[in-house]
Amino acid sequence: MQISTVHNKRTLISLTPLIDVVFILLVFFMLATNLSRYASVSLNVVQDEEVMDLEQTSSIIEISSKGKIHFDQNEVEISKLKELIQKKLQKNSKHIFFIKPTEQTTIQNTILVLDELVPIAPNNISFLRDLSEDSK
Amino acid sequence: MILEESKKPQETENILPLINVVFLLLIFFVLSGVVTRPELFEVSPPVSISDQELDQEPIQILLSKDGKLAHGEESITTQQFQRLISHAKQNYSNTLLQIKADQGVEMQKIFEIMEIIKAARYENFQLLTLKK
Repeated sequence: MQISTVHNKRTLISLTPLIDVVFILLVFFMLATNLSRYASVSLNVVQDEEVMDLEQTSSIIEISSKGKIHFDQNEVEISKLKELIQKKLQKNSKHIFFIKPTEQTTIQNTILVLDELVPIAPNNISFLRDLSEDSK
Repeated sequence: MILEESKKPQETENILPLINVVFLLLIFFVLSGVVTRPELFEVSPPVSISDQELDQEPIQILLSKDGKLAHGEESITTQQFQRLISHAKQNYSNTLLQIKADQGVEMQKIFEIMEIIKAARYENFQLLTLKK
């Protein structure tokens, strides 16, 4: 009886097809995946005209088309806005802040103002639409 | 001078670190990214510090910088948008409305959209933002 001898040599599996497949998968995921981290800002739409409480006081925050901010008609830097809002809230916690962007103000500039307002006065914000001819 | 002959098995071994790195990159993209469908037009949402979670299955409306609207992979007109959300409010009242607007969109367009949303009796909507 003949017994075949066991070969000591290891058979090498070619890695090239594996690398090809992995590279194709990598390219697919790099192109198809979205790494952006999304969040959201909730905006309420008032159905009926709100009746303002007599105790309520208000301020108007105007945002120009170029992003300049006017707080009660005084030009302010965005970094100072939080301080002014806090001062108003200390005097009256029901103080309402009307955000009044022009028709040409970008949503990014409006969001910048909302970012300052929402953390400290989420329920005291209202939008005012400027329909005057000057804003167009 | 005698030069040593290169050994064949070493060539295969040299590829191993490359495969390792490629595998790591692959795992990174698989785990950290979300596979999304390409959108009808490119929209770059406004950047915000807000970290409010997104609703899982909202009605998402795309709003481009030049005011074009899209739902899913279809471009829609203002009238179609009006019909779409009125229908959604009547039939699926709990579905949230999400607007993915470009950061360059003017507030005039947002106010127009808010008027339509108000007419459809929606009480609120989400504005999609990019985390800072």
